Amino acid sequence: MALRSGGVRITLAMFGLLLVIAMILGVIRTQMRQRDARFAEQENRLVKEIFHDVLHGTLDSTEATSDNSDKQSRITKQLRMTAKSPYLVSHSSNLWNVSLFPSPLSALSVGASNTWPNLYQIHGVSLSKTVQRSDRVRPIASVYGPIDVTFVVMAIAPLIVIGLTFNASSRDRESALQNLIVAQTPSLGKLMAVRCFVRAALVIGLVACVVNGSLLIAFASQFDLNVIGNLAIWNSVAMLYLLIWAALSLFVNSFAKTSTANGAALLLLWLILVLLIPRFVSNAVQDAVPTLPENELVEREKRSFDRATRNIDRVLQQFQSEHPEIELRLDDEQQMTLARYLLAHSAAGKEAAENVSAHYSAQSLRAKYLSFCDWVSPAISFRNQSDQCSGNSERSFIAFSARAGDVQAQVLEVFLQPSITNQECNMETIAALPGFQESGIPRSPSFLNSVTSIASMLVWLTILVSLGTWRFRAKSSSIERTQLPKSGGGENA
Amino acid sequence: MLEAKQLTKRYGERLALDALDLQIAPGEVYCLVGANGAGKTTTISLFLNFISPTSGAAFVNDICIAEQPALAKRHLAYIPETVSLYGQLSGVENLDYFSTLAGHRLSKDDKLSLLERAGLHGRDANRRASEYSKGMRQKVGIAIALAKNASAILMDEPTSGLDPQASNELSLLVKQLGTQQTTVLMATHDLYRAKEVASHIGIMRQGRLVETVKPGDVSHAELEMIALRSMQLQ
Repeated sequence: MALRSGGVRITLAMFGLLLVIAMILGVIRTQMRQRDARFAEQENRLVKEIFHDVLHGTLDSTEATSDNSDKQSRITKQLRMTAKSPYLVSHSSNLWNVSLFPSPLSALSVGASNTWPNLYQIHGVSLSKTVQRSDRVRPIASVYGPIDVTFVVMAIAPLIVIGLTFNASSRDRESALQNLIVAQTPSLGKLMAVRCFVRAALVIGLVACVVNGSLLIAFASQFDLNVIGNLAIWNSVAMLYLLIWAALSLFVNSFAKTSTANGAALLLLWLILVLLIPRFVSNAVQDAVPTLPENELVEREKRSFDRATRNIDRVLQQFQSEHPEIELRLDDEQQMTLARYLLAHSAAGKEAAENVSAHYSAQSLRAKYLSFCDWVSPAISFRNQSDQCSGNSERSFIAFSARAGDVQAQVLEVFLQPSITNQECNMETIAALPGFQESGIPRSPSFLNSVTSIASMLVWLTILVSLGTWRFRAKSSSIERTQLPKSGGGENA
Repeated sequence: MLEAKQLTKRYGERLALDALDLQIAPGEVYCLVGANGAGKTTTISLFLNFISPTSGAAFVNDICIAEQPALAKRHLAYIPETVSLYGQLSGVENLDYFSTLAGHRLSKDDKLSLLERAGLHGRDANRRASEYSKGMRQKVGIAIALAKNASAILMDEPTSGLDPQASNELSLLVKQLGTQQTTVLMATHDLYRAKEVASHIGIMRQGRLVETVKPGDVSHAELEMIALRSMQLQ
C-alpha cells in the first residue's frame, strides 16, 4: 500500500540512486586498488628479472616493458654503472613492494583503508617508508571522503525506513481508521509489526538488489567461498540493522502519539544511535588508548637518525662487536662514510620499528575495545561487521603492516651487509627476495566478533519487537486513551 | 448471542454506563436509543473491547470479551458511524484489505458480490475511496462487516448522514441479517428506522437502560413520546 504513494516511490528511487552512486564509487576504488596491487606485483617480478639477469650475466638482454620502463632503466643504469656496488640498488627508492590485494567486497566499505594503505613500497635502506604510511596519494578517497555503501546503509537507509514507518499506526488513528482495524484484527501488535517490517523489507530488498547485483557485475570472477561467506554475513547484518529500525518505529508507534511526535522521536533516536553514540564511543576509545599520529612517528624516526648520526662511533663499535665476521676497511674514507650513513639509518630504523610496533599494538587494542561497544548501538555493530566483511577492518591492516615490517627487515638483511662492506651481493640471496604471503592476514570477520555483533543486533530486535507488540496488545484491548475521533472522514475526509 | 452482565464503565467521577444487563438472542435486532452521552456508544465500545469495563462483563456466544478478546472478535463485526477507508485504494481493495485482516481471503467475485449486496454497484466498487461520498464509504463498511460472516454485528449510528435511499437500503439489509440469525446491536438516534428494523428498542439515559420497548407494541408517535420523555428527564 505504501508503494502507491508517489512520494514514497520518489524517495525510494532517490535512495536507490544514492546506493548505485556509492556502489560505483566503491567499485572504482576497489578496481584502482586492485590495479595498484597488480602493478606492484608486476614491479616485483621485474626487479627479480633484473637480478636474475645480473646473476646469469645476461643483463643486456633484459628488455624494458612499457609500464615499468622508467624503473627498469633506472635500476639497469645503476647496475651497469657499478654492478659490484649493490648499495646503489639499495638506494633505489621503492625497491620492493608489499601489497595487499583488495577483496572484491572492498567496494562495500572504505573502513580502515582510508587511513591504512594496502601497499608498502619498501626501501632498501631504512624503515622510514613503512612508517610514512600516508605518503601514497589516493585521489578518489580525497574526493568522496567517508561516503561508501556502508555509510549509506548505516546512516541514510534508517531515515528511509523511518520515513516509511513512522506513521504506521498513528496515521490510521489520525484518519479514524484504527477502530475499524482493531475490530477486524485479533492482534494489532502483530499487524503493526508486519506493516513496519514489510515496509522495511522494501528498503532491504533495494539494498540487497543494488549491492549484490553490482558486486556480481563487477567482480563475479573473483568470487570464491570466502567472499560469498563474507557477503552472506554482510547481507545478514544489513538486514538485521534495518529491521531494528523498523522495530524501533514499531516501538515508538506503540506510544500512540501523533505522527509528528513519532517522526521527531525517531529522528532523535537516529541522531543518537547513528551519529552521537558512535562518535562518543570512538572518542572515548581514542582517549582510553592514545596513539601517536603518523607525522609524530616520522619525526621520531628523524630524531632517531639524528641521534644515531651524533653517536655514530658508538653505533659503529656496536656493529663491529655484533658482526665480527665483517671486515671494515677503516682507512677507506668513502666506505666508512657510507657505512656510517647506513648504520645510522639502520639504528634509526630499529627504533622506528619499535615505535611502529607499539603503535600497531595500541591500534589493535583500540579496535578490540571498539568491538566491545557493539551493544551500545546497532550502528557500531553494522559498521564493525561491514568493515570486517569488506576486508578493510583495522585488524586486517594491522596484521598486514606487521607482515610488511617483517618483509622490510628481511630486505634490509639482504642489502645491509654487502652495502656497508662495498662487496658484491650474493645474487642468489637477492634473487630470493622475500615475497609477501597473504595467508594468515584476517580478511573475514572474526568468529567471536561476528557472533557478538549479530547477538547484539538480535537482542535489540527482540526487545524492541517484544516491547512494541506487547504495548500494542495491551492497547488494542483498551484503546480508550488513544482518543478515537467518534467521526471523521479518514484519509478521504 | 450478545449479553451484558452488570456492565459498568466509569471515567473518573463520571459514570458512562451503569450496571447494564442485556441479552440479545440470535436473529434479534436490538436498537439502543437515547440522547447524546446516554451510553450507547460506550456499550458498543465495551462489546468491541475498544475500552475495558470498570466492572461487569460483556459476552458474545458465551465468550467473555474482556478475557478472550481475540476469540471474541471472530464473532463480532462492526460498522462505525463514519466509515473511514484508505483513500488511495478502491472499494474492492479496501474490502480485500480489511477482510484479510480479519483472516478471510475472498475471491474477486465474492468481493464484488458483497459490495453489491451492501449497495455499491458496478464501476463504483473500483473507484478510489478518496472519491467516495459518505454513503458509499458506509456501504463499503457494511460489506466489510458482511465479509466477516460474524454471528453478531454492532452498528454505531450507521444511518447518520445517509440520504433516505441509503438509509432505506441499510434498513432492508439489517432486516435481512435478522432473518439469517445474525444478532444486531445498533445505536441510533433515528427512531423511525429503529421502529422499522428492531425487534427490541432499549432506551438509555445517563448510562442506564431505563426502558425496553417492543416496536410492534407501540406506534411511531408513542415511541417518540417515550424517547422524548426519557431525554427530558435528564
